Amino acid sequence: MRPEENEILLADDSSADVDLTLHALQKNKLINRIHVVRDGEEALNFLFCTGPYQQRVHQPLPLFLLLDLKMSKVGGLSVLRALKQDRRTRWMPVIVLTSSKEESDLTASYELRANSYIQKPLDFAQFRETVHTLAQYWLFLNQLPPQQTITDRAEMPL
Amino acid sequence: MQTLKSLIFAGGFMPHGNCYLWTPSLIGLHVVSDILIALSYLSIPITLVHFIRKRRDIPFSWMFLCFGAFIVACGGTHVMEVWTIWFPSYWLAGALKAMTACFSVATAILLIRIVPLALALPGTQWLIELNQKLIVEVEQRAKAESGLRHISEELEHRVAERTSELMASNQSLRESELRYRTLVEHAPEAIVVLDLDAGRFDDANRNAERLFGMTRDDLLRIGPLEVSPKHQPDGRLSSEAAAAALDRAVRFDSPRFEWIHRNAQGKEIPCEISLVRLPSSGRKLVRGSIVDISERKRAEEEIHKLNTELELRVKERTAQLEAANRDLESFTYSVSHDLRAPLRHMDGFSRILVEEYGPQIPPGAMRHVERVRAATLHMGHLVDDLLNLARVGRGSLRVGPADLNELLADTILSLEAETRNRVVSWRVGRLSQVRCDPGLMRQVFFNLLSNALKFTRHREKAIVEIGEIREESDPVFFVRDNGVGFDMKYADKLFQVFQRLHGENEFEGSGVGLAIVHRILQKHGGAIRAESSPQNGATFFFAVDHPLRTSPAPVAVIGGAP
Repeated sequence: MRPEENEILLADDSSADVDLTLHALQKNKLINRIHVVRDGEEALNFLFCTGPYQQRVHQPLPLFLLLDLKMSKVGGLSVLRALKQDRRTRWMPVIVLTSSKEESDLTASYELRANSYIQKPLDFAQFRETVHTLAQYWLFLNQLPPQQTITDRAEMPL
Repeated sequence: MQTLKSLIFAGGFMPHGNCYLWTPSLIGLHVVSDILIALSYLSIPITLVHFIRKRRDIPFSWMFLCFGAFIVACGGTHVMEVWTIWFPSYWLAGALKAMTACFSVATAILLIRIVPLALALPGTQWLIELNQKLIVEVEQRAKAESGLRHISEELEHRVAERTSELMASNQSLRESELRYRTLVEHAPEAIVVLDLDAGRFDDANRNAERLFGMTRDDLLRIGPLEVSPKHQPDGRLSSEAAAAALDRAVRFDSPRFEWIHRNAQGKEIPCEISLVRLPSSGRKLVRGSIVDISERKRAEEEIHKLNTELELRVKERTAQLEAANRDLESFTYSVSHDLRAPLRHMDGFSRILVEEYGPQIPPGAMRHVERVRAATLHMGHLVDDLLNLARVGRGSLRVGPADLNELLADTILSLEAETRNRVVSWRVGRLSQVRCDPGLMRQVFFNLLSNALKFTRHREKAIVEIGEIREESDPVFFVRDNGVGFDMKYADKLFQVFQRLHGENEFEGSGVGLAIVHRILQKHGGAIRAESSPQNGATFFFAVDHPLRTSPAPVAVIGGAP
């Protein structure tokens, strides 16, 4: 497993959406840098290196998370809350990428410190454009502190 | 006899007439004069005696008698003078003279002696003065007497007046007492008067008898505690509570409070009592007015029960509404998430299909795919519009003063893309400031102006006029276009969801836009109506915070037929 494979984490429980997102990222040659988790629980396991992802303890956290809100088991907002409340993960940008632009979702996401909120456009051409743009931004334009594993993070002073 | 004879005739002497030489005239003169003197001398004592007898108040009356005797004696001497002319009884005459002398001397001496006394007697002048004084005094007395009589009459009159006044006042007092007695007797509430020192009722009216179930006489033998239970509902001893209330009344406060009484039959009666101290000298009297409030209590309980029921029902209904709201919310939430996702998938995968397998797809099939994509996008718009409508219904208004002119200018600017390559004439009038939710109002303008642009698409020059008219001083706004218009017989469908007056091929749209406008204005307390005829454009009149009259003042149609 190459380290860049995990640079982007996509959390979405709809396989069709995952396929479309991956398809949209295909053109940017970013497809191999994405890891997909199928629900909120798996997302948390992946990021906190628990359960099936224990061996990831020595791997750095993803550069950002594309988070769907409506997922089975643990919903997107719960994942967001857990990540932003934990000092090991709170630095990681979380981009909410979801179907709705319900005011309640928007408000709750920003209250929970989401870094960005994007409604998936219905038109696939627009969707592709959107995904491309945000990947460009968060991967290449945005500057983050040096990559560190979750254990490094845990030892960091507050 | 001889002696007497000698005395009278004095034998030997010559009659006195001899001295007059018996001259008849001389003798006549002497005789007549002497007789007249003697007669006069005799008449004087008679008059004096008569005077004395009449005037018994005259002092020294005996003096008059002395005078009388002396004068009679003098008269006697003159008679003797006449006698001696013919008969020379000079001895007798001498004796008479001697007697007269005695009387004269005695009288003279007595007179001298009483002169000082007589001088001391008041004189006539003094008597006259005295008399006048007396007359004056008598007059004054008479005057005073008449004054007194007058005063006394007046007094009597006043006494009579006063008496009648007193009688009248007595009568009115009696009447007043009777009136108050009647007032108290027939008062709707029970009234008692309590003598605080005796601790007993001093008076009670008929309703008190009725309330306590005992006669007035029985009531006047007891006090309030005998007609109260031991404790009041608040747990206090009746005696303590009553003492506190009466104490307030004594201090001229007028306490009003609820009280439980127990009548002679042992029935407890909820009452409302008001106490007031009565004016009374020496005694501490307190009037208690007691109203039986059993009915009121029952009514209050009934109201309380009904209120509780009502509250419960309101709570239930609110809960139902809240549940319905929650359902609606989760429904729209699901729609927002779950209904859009498949559409995105349909569009996405049909696009991918074309992109990846384009060369293998026959041109006919390609058109079908395009139709799938168009339908998907349309469905997407429908969902978005529906969500919009639901949001308008759900959200609360954030009302404030808003400058509609600014909102309108912004809206026109945001529609720039739709007017590209078209000739559109905007005619914008000045709009009044109204209180509204600016966000929602922007949507109203956006939807109405989009509509106007859409339905003027086939005009060479589109004219859209926005302005304001007045309906009884209330501002009514309008948006008018010179578009295709519509038949007024479908006007009622205009503002209903998914109702369209034009074919899908003619003008795109979901039929939600005007429903949203309608809903927003309704939420503000306003209204909207439209006037149009086919091909003559349409005018939408709307009011933000008040209802519309059915037919606003007609405004000249602009643009007209193309």
